Amino acid sequence: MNAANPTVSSGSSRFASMLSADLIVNNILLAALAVLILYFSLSSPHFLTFSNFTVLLTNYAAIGVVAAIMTLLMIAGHVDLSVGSNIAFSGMMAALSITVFGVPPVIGIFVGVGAGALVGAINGFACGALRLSPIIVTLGMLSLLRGTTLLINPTEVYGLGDTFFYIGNGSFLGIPILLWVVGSAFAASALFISASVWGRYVYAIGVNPQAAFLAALPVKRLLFSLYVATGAAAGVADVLLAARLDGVSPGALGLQMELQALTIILLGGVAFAGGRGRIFGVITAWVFLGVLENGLTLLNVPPFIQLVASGLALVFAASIDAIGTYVAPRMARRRAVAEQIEAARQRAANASAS
Amino acid sequence: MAFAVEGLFKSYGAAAVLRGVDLAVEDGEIHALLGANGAGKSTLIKCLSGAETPDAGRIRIGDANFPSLNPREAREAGVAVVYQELSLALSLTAADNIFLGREKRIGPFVRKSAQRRIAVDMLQDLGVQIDVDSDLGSVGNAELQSIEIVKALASNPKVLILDEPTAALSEREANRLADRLKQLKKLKLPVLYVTHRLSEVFALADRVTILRGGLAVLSGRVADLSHEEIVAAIVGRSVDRLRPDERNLGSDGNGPLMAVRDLVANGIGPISFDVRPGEVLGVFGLVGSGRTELLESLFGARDVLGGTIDLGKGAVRPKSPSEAYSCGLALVPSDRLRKSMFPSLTAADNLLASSFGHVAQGCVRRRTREQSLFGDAAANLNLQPRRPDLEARRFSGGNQQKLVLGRWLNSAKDCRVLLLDEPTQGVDVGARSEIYAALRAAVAAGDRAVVATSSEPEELMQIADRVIVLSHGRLVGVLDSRDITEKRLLALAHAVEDEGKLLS
Amino acid sequence: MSQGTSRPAGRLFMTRRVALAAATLLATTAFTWSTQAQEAKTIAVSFPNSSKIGAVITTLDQAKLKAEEMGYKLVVDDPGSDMNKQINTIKTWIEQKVPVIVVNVPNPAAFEVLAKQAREAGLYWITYGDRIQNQDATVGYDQYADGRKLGEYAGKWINENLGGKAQVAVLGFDLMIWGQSRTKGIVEGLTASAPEAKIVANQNAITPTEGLNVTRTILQANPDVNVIVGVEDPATEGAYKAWIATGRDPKQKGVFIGGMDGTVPALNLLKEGDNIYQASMAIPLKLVGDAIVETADKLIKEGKAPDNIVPLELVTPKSPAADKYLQEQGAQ
Repeated sequence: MNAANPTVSSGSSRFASMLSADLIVNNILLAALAVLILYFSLSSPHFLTFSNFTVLLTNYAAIGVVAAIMTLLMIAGHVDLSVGSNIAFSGMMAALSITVFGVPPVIGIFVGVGAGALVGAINGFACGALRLSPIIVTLGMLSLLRGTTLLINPTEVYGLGDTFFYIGNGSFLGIPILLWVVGSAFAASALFISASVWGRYVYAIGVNPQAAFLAALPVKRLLFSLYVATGAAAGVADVLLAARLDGVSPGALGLQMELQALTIILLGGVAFAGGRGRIFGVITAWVFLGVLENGLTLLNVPPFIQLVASGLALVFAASIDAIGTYVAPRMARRRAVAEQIEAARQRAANASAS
Repeated sequence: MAFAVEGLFKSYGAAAVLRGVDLAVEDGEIHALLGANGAGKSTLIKCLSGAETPDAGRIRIGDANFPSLNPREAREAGVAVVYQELSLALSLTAADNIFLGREKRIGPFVRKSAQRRIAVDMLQDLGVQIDVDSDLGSVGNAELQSIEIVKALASNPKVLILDEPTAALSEREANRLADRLKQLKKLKLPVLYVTHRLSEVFALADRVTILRGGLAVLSGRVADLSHEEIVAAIVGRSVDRLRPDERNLGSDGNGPLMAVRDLVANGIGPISFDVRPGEVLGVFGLVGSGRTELLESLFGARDVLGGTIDLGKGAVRPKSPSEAYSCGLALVPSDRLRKSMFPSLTAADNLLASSFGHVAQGCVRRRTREQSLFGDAAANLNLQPRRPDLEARRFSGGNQQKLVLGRWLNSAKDCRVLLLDEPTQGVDVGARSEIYAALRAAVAAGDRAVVATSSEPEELMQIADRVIVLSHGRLVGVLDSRDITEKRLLALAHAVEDEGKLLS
Repeated sequence: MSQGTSRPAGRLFMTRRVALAAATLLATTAFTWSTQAQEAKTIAVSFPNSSKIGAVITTLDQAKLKAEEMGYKLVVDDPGSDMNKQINTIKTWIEQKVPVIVVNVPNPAAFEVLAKQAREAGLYWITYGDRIQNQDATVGYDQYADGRKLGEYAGKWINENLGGKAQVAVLGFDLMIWGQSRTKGIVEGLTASAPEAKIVANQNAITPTEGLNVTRTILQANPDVNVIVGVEDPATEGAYKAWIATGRDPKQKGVFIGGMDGTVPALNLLKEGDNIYQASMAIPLKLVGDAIVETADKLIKEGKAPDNIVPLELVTPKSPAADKYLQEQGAQ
């Protein structure tokens, strides 16, 4: 955790130079990403171009927003499996508000984000305040929201107007709006975790919720807020998706995105049980999966082989965790011995001085 | 037979951990081994169990001498070690566990009935009453530890080493185990007993050896040694009994710092008492008397069904720790691992957990202020090692407790009443006196107060200005400084049935 | 949209979440049915998730009208995605000797025994959109032929507009049998009629998001792609958005996008004309409804009936068929 969530820097500790297990684990993913990029660059001249990376990241922007925020929830030891359906639900709310009720698109965006946040608030109340099991509650919400969306409107809604078109396809300062949004989401998440006091609380709750409660930390309030934020992130994601498609299809929008988000976050080194993880790792995983999908499609790899490849990526994610659990205790032991020797040396020095 | 260690040396690199340790244990003797953390106890035991190879010296077991042992040699020589962590298979029966890996067999067939008979005999010898035919899932910790010991004895050892067998037990369980251990003397075995609890030394051991800095600094018959002598030998300097001065507390007309009135919660109450400014109020009671419940109820961590707490700003009833905290209360829970530590987070994260908000600018952290706050608190509490980035799980029990204490006793906190539940549980003697000193310093200015529970009368005798005694969830007595004696504490705590007579 | 008819498993997954709503609907349907069963001859339709898929609703509403016209009662059971529930309801029908049972089978093998029981009890069994061994007739589609028709049309268009040369991207779906058949039909039809056209990419995509993402990536690798054909209109609609997102002109001449099913957005683009969306193989939803009742009628009257395969209709820009199908789906 030393490197994972730096708190107060230790100055010139001689052990700081030793790599922490987390750093190693994260570097494995970075190295794998580098290998992947190298391979695709050599295989296709179209891969390593600015425009392709723009495509690659914009394709993955919506899911990136969800992953960026849900990472916080998962570090706190919770999970929201309803995001996929929440995207469809809040997307439908936004789309209907514009096409049926004729509200201005900006208000439509607020409706979408607000609907997502509302769903998050329900999850947060059930899991944060009432302490129901997050997996059960949000799995229930996954069904409930998809069904509700289809009951409200079983057919596609399209024609959302110029503002949405601009969000989905426009650029600001040469960078697509979609990337601004996902970049802000990751930046906000990273700042929250490292620079705000809440970030410390998130880790504390993830490691030991009971101790966090007895340390007078705002456990319920924070968990509630994180669920609301995750819901709002789903709302933002639906706006991005709807903006690119200029429409919302209730059955297909956001389908299985909860699994994609989970994959990104876990591959990024966040522990499913909470208490461990870094935003940088999640960003790496996000790019990694985006590159994998883009590269395989660029090379026109048959879909069956793509399934095998993305399956391998998941197994790889699992093995990264295993490497972590294999390496970490050994590193810790080595460090402990080194410290023991150091402490004894100091004692000896003190003794001879006195 | 007997067993001895002569001139044992062991270094890790340049650091000498054992510097010529001598130790002799007679047959049928329980020999206590004491020492602060880092004194060399665990290295000594590792040398005996074969986990480490000593650099010089020898180990004598019965008539055989060994310059060093490996694990197999140690086993064959008859060294049996029982560690504080249980290694039993809870889904098996006691008999199966005792003979696990050493089954009595005819060919491939396990002689279950013979195993069972032997197990029953051995358990009876030790006074353990359990159903040998059912699995261990519902067996208490003291009994499990006894079964561990029986398991070790089943291998017919020539020397038995018990490495803090009571460390993981509650006080009542520890007492139960101690009764069993007295039976070990009948076996005419040399028994080396490593512990942190001084009371056990006096209750159980015939002789005691104290390690400090890799040397046996004191060795002798327990009957010939005083409590102070032993503590002094462990710490290496003389520890005063921090018997507080007789102070004139609470009579300056300012009234109590905290007034608890008719507090009722699940299992306790109604309880009323006052906490005076500048005092350390002890809470004494046996296991199950409601000590933990009282503190957690005051801190809003349990549902309070009735009564009020007044901290000078009107009567309140905190519904959550954060509410209690904003009233000026703070709690150091007893069960560190479950209730107060964040083991995989850093020392700074642990110590500052409740203070981040206080040194922040809005909600943005200010690292330099955090750093200096940690530095000050760590220095005040003499945290060892003083490293903010080290994971909390790698600190010793005493230093972990300092991290939790520092959460409330730092300059950023405005805590008026500090509640401590068993503040020195699992803390070695040296760190204990540092914690006591920190508590005294906290109340010295007279604007704060400490409420500390303890199951050890001597601890309260050292730190408390007054003691309230609980029994079965109710307040059965209040003792002022002069009256705090072990005898009176225990008398009050035990005498529920005879309540009327006692209070008169 | 009406893939519910032909690829139950695909829809099954997407609408699994609506089981709760379906239960309510089932209760209502079952109640209605029990009051009507005694009067006219009944045709019972078991169709997973039928109450949630717009196109299926269109088909079954038409079937109800047609049944009334021909003197039958048509009842529909929607078991949601619960196959167990579906089987239980069909067993009840067998007990009650409903003369014709029409079933959309999510898993053909699981229904063989049930179909055998039904036929041994003297009932007729029509399999919808699929074919099992113990059945009297199939009402459904020929996925390969429909795909091939789109492929051939695209090939013809390439020959006429691009001199036979084109760079083609296929948005297929080979995770399900229906998808494989359609994909194969498209590819073989296209290469047969325009042998010089080059298929530069063949990737899975059936939802708008998949169509958009995959097409954007394909356009990176092959900026000269000018023909995109897919097995699903939602995916090719996504491809159309991708075309616009890359700054290309949606009215550009010499570009062909074509899909299948005849969904509302695709039909609207075709009705508009003058854009690169050039074709959709529309499902004649009402004809399918008629086909169910006609086949059942034939079975009751004659004891046997041939399979009733409804061909999809090719809709091209500004063709009046676009209007017709839009009306069918209530989009006009």
